[in-house]
Amino acid sequence: MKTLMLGIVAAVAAAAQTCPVAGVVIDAVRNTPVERARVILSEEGGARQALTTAADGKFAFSVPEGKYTLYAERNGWRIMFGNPGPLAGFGSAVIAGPGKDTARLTLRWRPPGAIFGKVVDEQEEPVRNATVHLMRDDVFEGRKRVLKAGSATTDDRGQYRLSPLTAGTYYLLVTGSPWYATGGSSPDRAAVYRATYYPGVTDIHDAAPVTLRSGAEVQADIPLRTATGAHLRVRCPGSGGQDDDCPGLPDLSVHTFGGIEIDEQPQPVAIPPGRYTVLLEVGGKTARRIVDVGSGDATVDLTLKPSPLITGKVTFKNAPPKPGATLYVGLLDETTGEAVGAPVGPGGAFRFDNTGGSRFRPYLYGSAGMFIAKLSAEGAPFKDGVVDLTEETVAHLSILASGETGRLKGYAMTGDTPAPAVLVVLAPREGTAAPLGFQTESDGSFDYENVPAGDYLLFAVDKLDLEYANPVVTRPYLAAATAVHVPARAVVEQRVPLTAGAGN
Amino acid sequence: MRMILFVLLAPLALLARDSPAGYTFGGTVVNSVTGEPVKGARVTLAEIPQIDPATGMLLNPRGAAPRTAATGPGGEYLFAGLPAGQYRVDAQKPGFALYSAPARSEWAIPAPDNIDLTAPVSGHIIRLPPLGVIEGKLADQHGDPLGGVSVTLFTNDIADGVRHASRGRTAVTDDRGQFRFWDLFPGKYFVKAMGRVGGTSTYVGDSAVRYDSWEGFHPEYFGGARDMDSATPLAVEAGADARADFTLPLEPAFKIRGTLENYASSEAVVFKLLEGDPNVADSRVSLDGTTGKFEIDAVPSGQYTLRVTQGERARGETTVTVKGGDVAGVSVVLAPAMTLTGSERLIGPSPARPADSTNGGAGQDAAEVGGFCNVALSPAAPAPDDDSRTGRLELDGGFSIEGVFPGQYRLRLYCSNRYVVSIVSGSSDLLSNPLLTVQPGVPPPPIEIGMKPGGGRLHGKLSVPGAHPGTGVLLAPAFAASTGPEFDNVVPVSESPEQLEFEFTDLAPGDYLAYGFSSIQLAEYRNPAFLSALTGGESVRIEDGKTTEVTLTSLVK
Repeated sequence: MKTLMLGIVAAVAAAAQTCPVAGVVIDAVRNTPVERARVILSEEGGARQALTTAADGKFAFSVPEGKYTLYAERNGWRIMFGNPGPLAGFGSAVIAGPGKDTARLTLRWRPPGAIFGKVVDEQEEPVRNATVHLMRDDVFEGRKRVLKAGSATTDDRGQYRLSPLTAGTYYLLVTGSPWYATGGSSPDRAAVYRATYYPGVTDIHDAAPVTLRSGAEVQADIPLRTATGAHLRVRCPGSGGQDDDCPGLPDLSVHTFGGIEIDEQPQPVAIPPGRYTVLLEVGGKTARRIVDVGSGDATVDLTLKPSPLITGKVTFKNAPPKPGATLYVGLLDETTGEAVGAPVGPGGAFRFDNTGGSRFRPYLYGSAGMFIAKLSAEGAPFKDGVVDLTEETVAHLSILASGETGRLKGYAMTGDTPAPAVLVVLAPREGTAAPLGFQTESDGSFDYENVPAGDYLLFAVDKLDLEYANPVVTRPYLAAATAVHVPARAVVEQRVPLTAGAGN
Repeated sequence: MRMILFVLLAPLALLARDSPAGYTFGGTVVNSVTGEPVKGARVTLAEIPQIDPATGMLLNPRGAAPRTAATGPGGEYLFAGLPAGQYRVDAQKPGFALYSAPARSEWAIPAPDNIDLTAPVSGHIIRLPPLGVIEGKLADQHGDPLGGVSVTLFTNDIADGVRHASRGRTAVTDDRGQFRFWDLFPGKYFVKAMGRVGGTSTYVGDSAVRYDSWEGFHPEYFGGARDMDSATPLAVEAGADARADFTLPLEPAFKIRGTLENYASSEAVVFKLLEGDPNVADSRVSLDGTTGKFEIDAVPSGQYTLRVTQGERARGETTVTVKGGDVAGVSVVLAPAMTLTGSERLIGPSPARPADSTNGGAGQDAAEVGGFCNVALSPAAPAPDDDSRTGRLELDGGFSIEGVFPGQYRLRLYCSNRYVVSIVSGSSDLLSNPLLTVQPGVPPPPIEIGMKPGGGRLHGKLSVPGAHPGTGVLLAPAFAASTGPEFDNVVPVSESPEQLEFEFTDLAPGDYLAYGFSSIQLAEYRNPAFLSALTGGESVRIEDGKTTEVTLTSLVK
């Protein structure tokens, strides 16, 4: 019944006031219209319309006033309006309504690229079944990071292909074993390939980036070198096992950029030289050691300890969150960009059983408007909003949560013209909270709905991948930024001029 | 620790054997088709264990560790310092067949060479048979590549006398629409574009992973056919690349929405949209894990049988017609798999075992002749995804076969020290017609098996020039027998390996015809038309408790 009612309301509204959402899909590389693209316009949580473009690449919809998502799809690749690719940016909504110019939109279609190549050994023989790991330079929430972006396996010709890919900067790492070392009892069985970065180097500092543009194909051949593998013996002295045997099989992962770990094949007979994490998790206990394996056999001793435990309590500065929504404490891993969450119980208690050792930035989510006003940590160092956990940490976090937020909205402007699809940054003047980014919508608008009350600096820049959480990067922008005060429970409207120049 | 010790000891063992008095053994590894040298191959030389017949001790205890050598750019290899003796040599290289690879009749794989080393050997040639490749490209009618499509290889083989499709490897097309299969044995392959990859994604609440295709295609074999019977196979030659480029016309695609009745959220569900041919990819489906509501994506207009299977627990089928628009309100009733039950009845006393029987000794009494039967139920028209089900007679004389979905099945019994004289289910005589139809929701009446202890034995020799292990004998009863026709490969006689013999045991007494076949791959013996067209069989009569001897002197095929 509810759906039906909404349908009637929408129909009435449409009859009363329809707005055009129209434009053209343009191939950003060839600068030509895109034919046979599927253009899909959907209202947030509501109805969707779709059409397929003809040779002129044009699309036209008629919709009631509102906020819409617009994207185009072709051959399994999807581009959102205002976005360079599926892996980048927030995307811009299309705001349709009186006075909004949504009849001449350009959806810039950035075709995907591919990285392909051949993996060979010293004899120029193709290496089969090698894994080519792809890593990508990325800016997420204003922070630069390297993240795993997929992998491919080489075929019988030693060839691989990673596609479709968003334009960007990539790194490649190859792991694998010689075919003749994977079984049997021949002396060759201890032969290994060293984990090798493009363009054929084993030292991470020599790894070369592969720059991929939209629609481009980049060839990246990688030669592997054979080495004699080392035997790594893992012992757990004091665990009570015979010959100090461990009570379980440890996992082995290869270290790469920024602590990204690539899982090794299960229990290889011999392993190539390199830096590894040896991880053993058994019965609520954990042991983790980082070992550098050289050319000789090595032994690593593990000590099983209770897994790291983080408990905590959330207290509320004013009112607790609205009923109906569950509040969560999140821990954002500063190294990997991955996050874990734990629900906050009725008494405000939360618990993380085994996060592993890393640098985490706590935050609150699940209940709109709740943020950490104050945090203190026992059992672990806490600085600049980041808590530093080791494998053996047993820590207690005391979080003072506040719902004292205001709303800041407005337009990014180039002179008198609204600037769509640019980055607006809201940086707190005090404290350790991270700046907030917003990609402006089709009408140049931005809308921070739940901003902790306080004093801020606001600027806009035509660079969606700006590292706005890095103070060194933002310093020149902040010098010319607009000061704005956001009181609790108030709505502040503010225009912000687009900063000239793209900074770095 | 054991591993490290081995590595340390291995070089010592080699050193000890590298006496200057030893022989050398060398040669070349070549591609058996082109004759070109094969570089980077691994040649393994292993001493064949020699046992002193008097003591039973190993005469060459150090012969256990095989030596390996890599071939150079010209395919050459060399072993030095070898003591005289018996060796076995073989070679390996990716892209070439290994001796351990499964033997296929179309292509006999050479056995490793046995070498009697009494003098230095050079120029020993090892021929490696190269494997084949199928590669291809899928495009739509506009020439745009079709990525993310599941492509599967099939072979049409005869197994246990039934011709049926065997599913081989599956590849997924890349962004260029390209796919590639390698290390293929020479032979005939069917290549089929099975559908878009995706399968069923189960969600709870609002987290639906919704596919939203506006175009789709009908699954199709290379060459354009939609079923295997009218498809043309692609021939793969040794060491050659075969191409399978094809165009799949994209059509407007629609959605099928509906609900699974009797849905249990615990087990994975597979949706298949069949258009006659059973070989299709799992459909792309969003399934609400709470309510059983589903939405199938990318369905072009057509008439389908929608088959939904939940684990081994339940299955439902319904017909759906899609005609230029979405279809809603489809109900699929998941009916639980059935259990077939039955019992056995032993008729008459056990006769004495034949004096020459292999388990030795005459005059076992009935109590000692235990015996058992295995009951096998296999789909009458085998499809790659339908497994056979088997049950075993228990001590109390009963059996049950679980997890049987509706359909037509073939019932067979494999007995030891017994033979079957009657199989009845309700009013159906399953001995004369072994096809059993299982209706939805109605398990057939219990299957009653009458059997007698003992049985006859057939022993024979195959005296045909060029016969080899792989050659076999088909024994077809001239009456209704529970096993139907049987096939057995011949084996070399242990005392004189140049002779080949065969044996069938636990046979129901009666008249049979025996045929020699060069391969089981040629004997479609569960097909009545194939059997009735056979000529040149040797008549044999089997009697209870006795062994019949026969010599076959020709091959039918």
